[in-house]
Amino acid sequence: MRSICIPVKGISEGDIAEVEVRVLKSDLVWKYRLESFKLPNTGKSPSDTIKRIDSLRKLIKEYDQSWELIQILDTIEASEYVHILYRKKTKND
Amino acid sequence: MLRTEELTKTFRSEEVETIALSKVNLAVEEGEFVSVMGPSGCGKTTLLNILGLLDSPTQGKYWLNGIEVSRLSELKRTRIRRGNIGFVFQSFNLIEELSVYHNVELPLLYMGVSSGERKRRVNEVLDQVKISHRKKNFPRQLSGGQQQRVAIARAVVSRPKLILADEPTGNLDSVNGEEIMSLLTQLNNDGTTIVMVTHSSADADKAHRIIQLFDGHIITERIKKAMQIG
Ligand SMILES: Nc1ncnc2c1ncn2[C@@H]1O[C@H](COP(=O)(O)OP(=O)(O)O)[C@@H](O)[C@H]1O
Ligand SMILES: [Mg+2]
Repeated sequence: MRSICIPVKGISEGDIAEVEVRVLKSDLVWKYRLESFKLPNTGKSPSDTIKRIDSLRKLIKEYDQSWELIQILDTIEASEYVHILYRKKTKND
Repeated sequence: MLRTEELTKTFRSEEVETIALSKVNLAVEEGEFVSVMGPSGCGKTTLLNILGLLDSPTQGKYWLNGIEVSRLSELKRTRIRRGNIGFVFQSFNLIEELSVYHNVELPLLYMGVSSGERKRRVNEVLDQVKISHRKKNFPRQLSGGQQQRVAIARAVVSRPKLILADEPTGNLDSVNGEEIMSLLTQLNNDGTTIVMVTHSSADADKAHRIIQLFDGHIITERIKKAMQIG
């Protein structure tokens, strides 16, 4: 088995969800965090896109370094929010 | 192996212009395994199609094995593609009218490989992906996982140095997905360079490096593990 799928209900845009996965009888623990970030604008013009990309790059770069970015998730078209899945770094990372 | 410089692709219809890729700079070393992730519509397939010479960029440059290929004619691109690049798609893309054996043989026919050599190589790769017992069957008689194994056999029968895989486990359950991933990992361990698009972070983790695309731009790159040299 390689994944557990967890439906996350009742989370609105701007909320943060954290999930901890612990393997019983062992020291294995993974922490995941799903966070949504508001991007500056949703316009379609090239300069709007560049603004959005720049702010996304900046927020990823400035994010707590003890977490690593796993995936930028699908967003609803024209949404102001982008959802990012992070995982807490372990000693091995 | 390959390198792009400011690779840009726009699609234009009557009214709208879509920037599918914008100034993408990417270099992949020989023997590397690179995953590409990102939300739907962010340009992953477009990037793979350009890297695979199925499409050409609107702007920017692309070097494949040291040759700048972004402005080549369709005919020249097809010639370079054959024998050098293998493709694996989410929807398998096998030819329904041909048996498993003949699907896998097809790339060798295009390359003009002799019949004895074809037979030897097709049987060899069918063994490798453990589907020999099904070689007389047609794609529709196989499960999704089996069809993808045939598609991988077809991609590697010409012994390409580069494999491009677009969501190869996207239509498979996790057991079959894992089997396909272990085949790809094995091919990479044997020296084949792989660029794979995926939505699965577990699959992406198998690569040396993970690239995140968003709105046609490379946002971040994460190194997973050092590449074994030699
Ligand atoms: N042939 C095409 N004509 C017009 N627009 C296209 C074409 N192919 C892709 N696009 C657009 O380019 C963008 C990137 O598409 P694609 O590379 O397929 O994304 P992904 O594979 O990441 O889901 C999307 O907005 C898509 O609608
Ligand atoms: Mg795609």
